[in-house]
This record gives sequence, C-alpha cells and structure tokens, in this order.
Amino acid sequence: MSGDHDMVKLISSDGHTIEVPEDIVRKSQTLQNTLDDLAKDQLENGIPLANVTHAILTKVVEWCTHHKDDPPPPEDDDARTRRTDDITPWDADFCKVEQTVLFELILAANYLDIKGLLDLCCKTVANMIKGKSPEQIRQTFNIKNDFTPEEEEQVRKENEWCEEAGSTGK
Amino acid sequence: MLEDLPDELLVSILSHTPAPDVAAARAASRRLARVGADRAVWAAALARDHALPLRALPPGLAAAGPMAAYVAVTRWRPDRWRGLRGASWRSPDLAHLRAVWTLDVAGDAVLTGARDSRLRRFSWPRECSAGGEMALDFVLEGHAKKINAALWLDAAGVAVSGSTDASVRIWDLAAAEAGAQDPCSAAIPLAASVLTLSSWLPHAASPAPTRYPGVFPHAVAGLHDGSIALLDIEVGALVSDAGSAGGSNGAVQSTDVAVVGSAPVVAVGSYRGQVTWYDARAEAAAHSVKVWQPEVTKVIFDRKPTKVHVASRAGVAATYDIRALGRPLHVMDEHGDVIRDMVYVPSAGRLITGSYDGLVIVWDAETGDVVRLCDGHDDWVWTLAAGEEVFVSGDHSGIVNVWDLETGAWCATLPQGHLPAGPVALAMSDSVLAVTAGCQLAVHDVVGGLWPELNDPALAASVPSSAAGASIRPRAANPDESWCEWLTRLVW
Repeated sequence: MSGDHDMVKLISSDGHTIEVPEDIVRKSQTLQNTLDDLAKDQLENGIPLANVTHAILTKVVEWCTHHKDDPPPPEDDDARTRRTDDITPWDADFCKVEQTVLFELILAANYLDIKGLLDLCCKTVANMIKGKSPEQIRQTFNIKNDFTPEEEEQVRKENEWCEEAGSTGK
Repeated sequence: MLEDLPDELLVSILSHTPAPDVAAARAASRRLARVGADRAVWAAALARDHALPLRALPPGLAAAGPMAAYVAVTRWRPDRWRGLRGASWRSPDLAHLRAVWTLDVAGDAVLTGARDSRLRRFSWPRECSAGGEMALDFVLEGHAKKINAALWLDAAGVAVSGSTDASVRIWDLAAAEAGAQDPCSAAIPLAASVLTLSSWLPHAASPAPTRYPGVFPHAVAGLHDGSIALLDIEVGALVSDAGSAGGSNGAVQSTDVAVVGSAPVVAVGSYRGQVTWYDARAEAAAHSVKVWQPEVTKVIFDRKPTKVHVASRAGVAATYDIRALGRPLHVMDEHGDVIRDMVYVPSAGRLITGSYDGLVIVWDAETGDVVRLCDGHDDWVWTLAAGEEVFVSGDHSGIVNVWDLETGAWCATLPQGHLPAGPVALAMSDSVLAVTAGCQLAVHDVVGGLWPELNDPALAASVPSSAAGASIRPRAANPDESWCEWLTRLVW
C-alpha cells in the first residue's frame, strides 16, 4: 500500500515540476485514473499536465491540500445544492484572485476533474454576476454587446418576468 | 476572459447563478443569451427555487422547455394565486350557531348545512366587485336534526339536503330567493339517517333545461342502515330504496355514494369495507364486492364509467373495473394511515388522496402511479376539494394548503387566524373556495389561471411554436354512451 509519504511528480505546461503527496493528487479524478492506469515505474518521470501552468497548479495543490480530509462529493448532482451562499471563509479568501486566474482555475479544475474546486470557482463567478445589470456584467467581464436591436428586444421580452417578480417582493 | 470559457463551463457557472441574474447575463451578449437558455441552467433553477424536477413538469410545460417552465412556475407563486377578492370574507352570522357540517358552492355563492338543522346561502352582492361582504341570501328551515349532506344542483335550481332526521328535503332556490314562506318543495321521509348524497345533475351553472335531456334527473342518498334511496328530483319523490334494512349484502352504513355520468348506476361504499353496485332503477343490488376490511371512505366513478376509485380507512386506495369485480386494476398503497378523503379530477386525469398520515398524494388516475407526494400538513388531512387549476387540502388543525393540480407543487397556505383551529370542510367552484371550521365560514375568490403565461404573446414568442399552442390539460373525454348501454345490459 502506498503510504502518506508517496510523492507524485506533476509537470506543468510551462515545464516546472512539483512533487505532491499522492493522497492530494487523488483529489483529482483525472489524475487518480492516471495513477491507477500507469505502472509505478512509468510515473518516475512525472505526469505532464499540458493545460495547467505552474502558477495555477500551485493554487490547485493549495486547495486540494486544504481540503484533503473533506468527504468525497456526492455522486448525484443534486441541483438543490447549487447555492452560492455556502462558501467557507477560507475558500472565499482562496478565490480572491484576478479574473484571469479564476478562469484558468475553472479550466484546470475541469481538466483535472476536481468537482469541489470547480463548484467553488463557478459559485464565485456566479457571485460576481449576482445583482448586476446587463451593462455592469459587460463591464465586469469585458464583454462586447453584439446584439442586433431585434435580438436585444427579444431577450428583454423574455426577461420581463424578472421585473414583475422584483416588484412583488421576494 | 469569461467568454473564453467553453460553453459547458459557462453552463456550470450559470447553473449556480440565481435565475434573475442569469436573465441579466443573457441580456449582456449573444453568446450568453444562447448559453443562458440551456436546459441544465433552468433545470437547476427549477430544482433550487421550486423543488421541481424536470420530470414533474406537466406535459405542456415540459414541451416549452425548462426556461419557459421556470418563468411560468415563478409567475405562479403564492402572490400570483389571488386567493382573495380584496379580502377574505368571514361570516359573522354563523358565529353563534353550531358547527357547519356540509357545504356546496355554485358560481360564487355558498350553501351551508349546519348542525342547527338549517341551510343557508351566502353570495357576493352583485354590484360589489372587490372586497365586499358576502350577504346571507336566505335560511332554509325544515329539518329536525343536523344536516349531513347538501347538494346544490344549479341546473335544476334546487338544493337537496339530507339529515339525521331520516329525511331528504328538496328546496326550490328561486322561491327561497323570492322570499317564499316555505321553499321546501318536497320532504321525503326515509328509513334511516342520511349520511351522503350524490346526483346525476351537474353542479355547475348552466342553462336550466326543463327536463334535463340526457341526464338522469335523480339524486341518490346513502343511509345509516347501509341502504340507498333513489330520489326523483323533479317529482320530489322516493323512487326506490335498494338494499334497505341492512340489505342483502349486509352492508352497514353507506359511507359514500357515487353515480355515473348519464347511466343510472350507483356505487356505494360501506362501513364494513364493501362496495356495491346498483342499477338505480332496480330494487336489488347488482353486484357487491368486499374490498377492504375497514370502512370505505370514498367511492368515485372514473370518467370511464367502467372504473371506480375506492379509498378506505385501511389507508389504501384502489381502482376497480366493474366488469372484473374483486380484482383491482391497480392498488394505490403509499399512505400510512386512514385515507379520509379523495377527489378525482377528470380533466387532469388525477386522483388526490388525503390521509391521517399528514400526506396528500396526487396519483395518475390511469395508472395509479404517484405523481407527487404533497407534504405540508402536520395533522390529519381531513378534507380535499379541487378546482380548475388548483386543489386544496384542509387538515384537522384547520390549516388549508393550496396545491397545483398538474404537478402537485405547493402554491399557498391560506391566511392563518381567520378560522378557529379544528377540522375544516371545503368546497370549491371555478370562482370561489369556501372553507369552514367550527361555526365559521370563510370564502375566498379564486381568480387567476395556472400557467397563463403560455398564452402570453411575449412568452409565446420565446417558446417553440408547437409548445406554445400545446394544451396543458387532456381534453375531457366524451361520455361513452355505448358503454353505458352495454353496462346496463350486461349487469341488469
């Protein structure tokens, strides 16, 4: 059996190698599959991660290390748990990064298949969207308004229910 | 940048975003408008905000897609259910009386039968459109003991009442309205206390034909001795009393009677757990089947007159084909306690049961499958009533919940404190919901349609055209005339 001290080498896309305890690496479903598929000697040279830079990989490892004792996330994707107000202070602090880093974290969490981290980052972005007008959302995320006037009118009509819901309270 | 993320990740983000914010994001750019309309985003919103899984959506809404469904469901929330016209109205006149025992509604007026052996009719004053006081139109006096059952047969302009004084009275409502001294057109003495009444005449207001073509112009009373009495409403006379004096089937206490559309068929549930079918024109029981050990609480014919739905104190409901007596088509066995009431909604194809276990269950009447468990009562569910779009359940502590008929989703709880705690009686028409508890009566105006937004042109534009025109309700089946004939030939 592999003990706590088994280290796995991970090679980031920009060529840096970091050594990470195996139980941390196994938080990633993708890497867990890799570890199970490859023989030990094949792991000697490290696992290359083509889509993850050193900076992001460090963040991912930091998150996995903090959450290494968490119970595994529930298998069924119960949408009722998709709330945005259940972020722990540590996680909230962890996500206080530049937007570009946050989006790269999302891509990395998706690539590495770390559900908890992906959910956290998605919730963080969702919280950035919360309470903003379409124009504020464009400004926040540097999005260009590419609607034709007809399309804009169409979406506005589809959104009329929000004004109604807002005016009647909760 | 946000827009550099692949669609699936944008969908993940928006699935975590509150619905109004998703709507705002959709208005930011073309790509967000497209991704923000994804099924997964709105399926998550439906589950999060309305506890509605996609599979629980009614067919019309499911076809419209999760986004349109979310909008429709969101618009249909308690504040959309305008349960009150101005304010709920509570009768001051009944406060000094004994409890209201039974009630019936037609249009927006209410008929009550009380322990004080009187019937009363209340209605909204015609000129008063909002928040008015209901007026006591008249009091019908004549019974000697408490009234157990009251029917308001609007098409015939009469009310029928059954009482513990072992009589049925037929009341001419036009005469009562005109202030006649004695509007009772017939008092028919019977063998025993009258527990329940049912009629072939429609309740709903419709032009009153003089001879009710196509409708068997009778009412049937279930008596305390297990017999039934067939009454001619036009003539005001007893036609036959089948199975009297305990009856050949040994039934005790007819707990519920049901009749079939236009065929003279009666089903009676008894205290001994028996269901008996009669040809209303014949003296003897046509067929009888023992269904459950304890009391049959409710018997209802399906719109297909071969089928009858039966609920019991055993906590089990079942549907029988009366051509194959004794073997249920399906058994609805989810309740853990007495089923006190059951209603059948032919237009929606739903059966609804309410039980002492505190649950209300919506069933598919065709298959007996559970559509929804409605969990909203902390006490015995006592009584149910169904309208066009919603149904209501009242419990033993006086709480009344309003539920969506199609999905069983909770819509509202009636305002508290307007009625004393205690078991309630409910009756519902297209326009009013009447609730009683103890000596008091509250009437709510039921306005506003369910899912009206699908007919709303603004929304229809965003819904695929096939779905926008989709009918939410199954069409009402035509009464199977040939079947009725066949049935009468076969059994009798």
